[in-house]
Amino acid sequence: MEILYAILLVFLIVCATFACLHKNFLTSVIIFMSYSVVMAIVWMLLESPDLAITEAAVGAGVTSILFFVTLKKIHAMDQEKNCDEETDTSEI
Amino acid sequence: MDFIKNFPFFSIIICLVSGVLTSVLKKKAARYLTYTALFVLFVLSSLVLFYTIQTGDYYVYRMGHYFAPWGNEIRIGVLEGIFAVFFCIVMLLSIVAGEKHIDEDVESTKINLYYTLICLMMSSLLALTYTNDLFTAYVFIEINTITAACLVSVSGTGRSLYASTKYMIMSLLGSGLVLIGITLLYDVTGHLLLSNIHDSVETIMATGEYAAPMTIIIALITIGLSIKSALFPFHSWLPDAHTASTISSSAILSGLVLKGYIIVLIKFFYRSIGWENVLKTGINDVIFVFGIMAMIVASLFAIVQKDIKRMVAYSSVAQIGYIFMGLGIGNEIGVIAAIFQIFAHGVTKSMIFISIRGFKDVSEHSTRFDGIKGAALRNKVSGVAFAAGAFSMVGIPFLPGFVSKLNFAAAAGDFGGTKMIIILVALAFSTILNCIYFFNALITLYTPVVMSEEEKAKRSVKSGALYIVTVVCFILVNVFVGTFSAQILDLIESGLKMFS
Amino acid sequence: MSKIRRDYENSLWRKLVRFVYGENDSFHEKAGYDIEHPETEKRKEETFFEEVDYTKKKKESDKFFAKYSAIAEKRGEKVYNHFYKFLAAITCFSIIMILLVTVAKLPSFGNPDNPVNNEVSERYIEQGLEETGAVNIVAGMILDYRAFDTLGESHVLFIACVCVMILLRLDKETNDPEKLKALENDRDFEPKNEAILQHAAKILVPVIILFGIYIVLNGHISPGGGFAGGAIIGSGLILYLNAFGFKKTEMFFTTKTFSVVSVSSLLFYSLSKTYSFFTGANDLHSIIGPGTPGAILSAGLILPLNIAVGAVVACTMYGFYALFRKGGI
Repeated sequence: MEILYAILLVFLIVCATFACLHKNFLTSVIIFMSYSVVMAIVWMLLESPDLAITEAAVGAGVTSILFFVTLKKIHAMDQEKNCDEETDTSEI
Repeated sequence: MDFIKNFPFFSIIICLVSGVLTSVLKKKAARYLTYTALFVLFVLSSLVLFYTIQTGDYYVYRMGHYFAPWGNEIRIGVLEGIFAVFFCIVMLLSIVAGEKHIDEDVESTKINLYYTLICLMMSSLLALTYTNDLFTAYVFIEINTITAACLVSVSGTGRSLYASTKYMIMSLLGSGLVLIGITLLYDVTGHLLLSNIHDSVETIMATGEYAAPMTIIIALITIGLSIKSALFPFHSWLPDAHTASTISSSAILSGLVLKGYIIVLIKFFYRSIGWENVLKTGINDVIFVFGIMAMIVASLFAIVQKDIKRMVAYSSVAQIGYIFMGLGIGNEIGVIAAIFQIFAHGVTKSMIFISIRGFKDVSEHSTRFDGIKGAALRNKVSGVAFAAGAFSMVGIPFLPGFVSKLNFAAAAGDFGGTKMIIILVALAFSTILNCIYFFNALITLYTPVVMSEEEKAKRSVKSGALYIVTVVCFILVNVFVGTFSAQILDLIESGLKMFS
Repeated sequence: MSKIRRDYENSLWRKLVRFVYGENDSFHEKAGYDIEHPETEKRKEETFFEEVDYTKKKKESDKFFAKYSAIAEKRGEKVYNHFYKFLAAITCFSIIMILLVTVAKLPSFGNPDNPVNNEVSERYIEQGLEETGAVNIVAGMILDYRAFDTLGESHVLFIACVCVMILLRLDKETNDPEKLKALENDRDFEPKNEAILQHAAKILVPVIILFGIYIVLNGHISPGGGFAGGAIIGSGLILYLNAFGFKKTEMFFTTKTFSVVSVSSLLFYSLSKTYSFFTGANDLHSIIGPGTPGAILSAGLILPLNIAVGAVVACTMYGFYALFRKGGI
C-alpha cells in the first residue's frame, strides 16, 4: 500500500511539473487530465469518495473539455500542425 | 432577541437574491431593483450601526440552529456597522453617477448582468465585513475576485480584456496564497472560527510547538491579501484595470474592492492572531516598509502619467500605501488612523473617479491630459468635485485626507524613535508629490481653450440632473467625513475595542 | 551540407557557442527569425523610396518599421525573457522550499492527537446523524451545519457563469455576418456527424445522466451530493451535445431553460436557508425535522438543497461548454 501511495504521489509531482513546463498546450492539457485522474485515486485512498467523484467529473472531464474548446477557438491545435509542416518543407 | 439583530443577515440575503433576480430581468427593471436593494441596505445598515452604538457592545448572530464552532456565525460591532454603511453609500452613489457610461460601455443586452455583478459584489463585501469565520471569508473573497475582474472586462474592448486578465492572474495568486494559509492554519489550530483560532494561537505562542509554521501562515495570508489590495510591489494590475474599465467600475474598484481585503486582513490580525502576536512576528515592519515605498514610488509614477485616470490610479496605490503604513506602525493610534484612511480614501477616490466621468463627457471621451484641457470650465460641477478631491488628497482642512494625514503624524509621534522620523519624512515628501500631480491636473483642467463653434457644440454635453445630484451628495459626504472626523474617530476607537 | 556538418551545427555545444557569441538565441530558434542589421535594411529602404509611388512607399515603410520594431522588440524580449525565466525559477524554487519546510513541521498525518481532532469534528461525527438526519456526514456538514458557506459557494458558480456570459455570449443584435451564421447552426462549421461517437453517445448518455441523478438524490445517504452529481449530469449533456449538435439539444435545453432552472434553484436555496437561519437564530421552532435517517425522504432540507445545487451545477457546466463553443446556450 505504501509503495502504491509513493508511486501515485511521485506521478502527481511529475505530471504537475510537466503540465507547467510543456510547450505544447494540447499535451499540457492531456497531462493535466491524467493528473486529475490520479488525484481522484488518491482521494479514494484517503477515504473521501465525495471528492474522488467530483475530481473525476470536474477535473478530468469538464475542465479538460473546456480547455480543448478554448484551444480550438484560439487555433492552438492547428498551429502545431502548420509548424511541423513548415519545418518539414524547409528540411527537404 | 431584538428583531434588529437580524438585519445584517437580511442585507446579505437581499443582495444575493436581487443579484440572482437581475440576471433574468430587463435592463431597466434590473437597474431599479439594484438601486432599491442598495437603498434598503443603506437603511438597514444604518439602523444596525445605531443599534450597536446604543448598546455599546458587539453581538453574535448564529446562522442556523447550531452554535458557532459547528455552524456559521456573523459578528457585528460598531466598526462593522460603519464599514457596512460606508460600503452602501459609496456603492449606491458610484452606480447612480456612472449610469450613462454603463449604458454606453456595456452591450445593451448585458446591462442587467452588470447589475448582477454589482449586487453580488455588494453581498461579498458585506459578508467579508460581518463574518467571523475564516472559511466563509475565503468563499466571499472568491466571489469578490471574480466579480471585480469581470467588472473590469465588462466593456469587452481589447484593453479591458488585457487588464482584466492581468488582474485575474494577480488576484488568483493572492487567493491561492490565502487558501494555503487558511489550510495550514486549520491544520495547526483545528479551528476556522476567528475567535477560537485566537485561543489556539495563544497556546501555540506559549508552548512554541508550531511556531515556525505559524510565522509562515501569517506571512502567506498577509502577502496574499496585500497582493489583492495592490500593495506596492504587487500593484502592476491596478493602473491598467482602472484605465480600461467603465467609470463606475473604477470608482468601485478603487473605493471598495481593495478595502474589503484590508478589512479581512485587519480582522485576521486583530481577532484571530492577536495584535501582540503579530508584533512579535515582526510582519508589521515588513508591511510598514512596503507601505512607505508605495507612498513615495507610486506618487513618482503618478507624476509622469499622461492620462488622468492612470494618474489617479497610481495615486490610489500611494493611498493604499498609507493604509498599510498605518497598520505597520504597530500602535493602536496607527491602526485607527489606517481605518480612518480607509473611509477617507474610499469616499474621496470614488468622488474623483466620478468627476472624471464629467470631464470625459465634455471632452469627446478622452481622458488624456491634452484632451481634457479646460474640461472643468465646461463642466463646472465635476470641476468642483475634482478640486475637492484633489484638496482632500493633498491635505486641506475640513476634508478627509487632511484628518488622516494628521492622524498618521500623531501615531508617529506617539510611537517615537526612528520610525517617527521615517514616517514624518515620507508623509511630507509624499504630500509634496501629491501637490505636484494634483495641482498639475487642476491647472490643466482649468486652462481655458479657444474652440471653434463646431467643437464647442460637440463638447458641451449636458451631464444630466441625476449626475449632478450624486456629485453634490459625494461632496457633502466628503465634507461630512472631514468635519465630523473627531466623532468618527471616537466610533472607530470604540469599535476597535469590540473588534478583538 | 553534409549530415555530419548539419548534426554538428545542431548540436547543443554549437548552440551554446552561438548563443554566447550572440549570433542566435537558442530558445527562439524555432520561431525562425534572424536578426538583420538595421543599417543595411535602412539603406535598402532609402534606394527603394525614389522609384516607387507614394502609396507603395508608405506601405513599404510601414512594413519596414514593423520589421524594425519587431527586431528591436525581440532583442529586448530576449534579455527580458532570460531575466524573467531566471527570476521565475528562483521564486518558484524558494516558495516550494519554504512550503516543504513548513509541511515538514506540521502535525504528522493521521495522528489522533492532532489539533484537528477536537470537539468540532467530534460532534460532527458523533451527533451528525442524529442532528441532521443525514447518513453521509459530509452532506450534513456542508448543507446543514455550515450551509452559509455552501450558499456562497453555489453563488460563486453562478457568478462565474454570468462572467462567461458577459464575455462570450453573442446576442442577436450583432452585425458580424460570420457570428450570425455561427448562431444559426454550429454544424456549418463543424460538419462531423461521426457514427462512432453518436452510437457511443446513444448508449452512454442515458447511463451517465442516470448515474448523476442517482448521486444527487442519494447525496444524504451515500457519498456524493449536489456538486458531484451535477457535474456528472453536466458532462453527460456535453457529450450529447458533442455527438448530435446544438439543433438536437435545443429541443430540450435553451437559454430560457437555463435561466429558469438556475435562477429558481438558487432562489429556492436562498429562501429556504433564510427560513432555516432565521428560525435558528431567533430560537423559533422550525417545521423541518431530520426524519428517519437512511430513508430517501429524510434529512430535512438536505435532499431539496442537493437537488437545487445539482441543477445549478449541471446548468453551469453545460452553459460553460455551450458558451465556449458557440457563444450562446
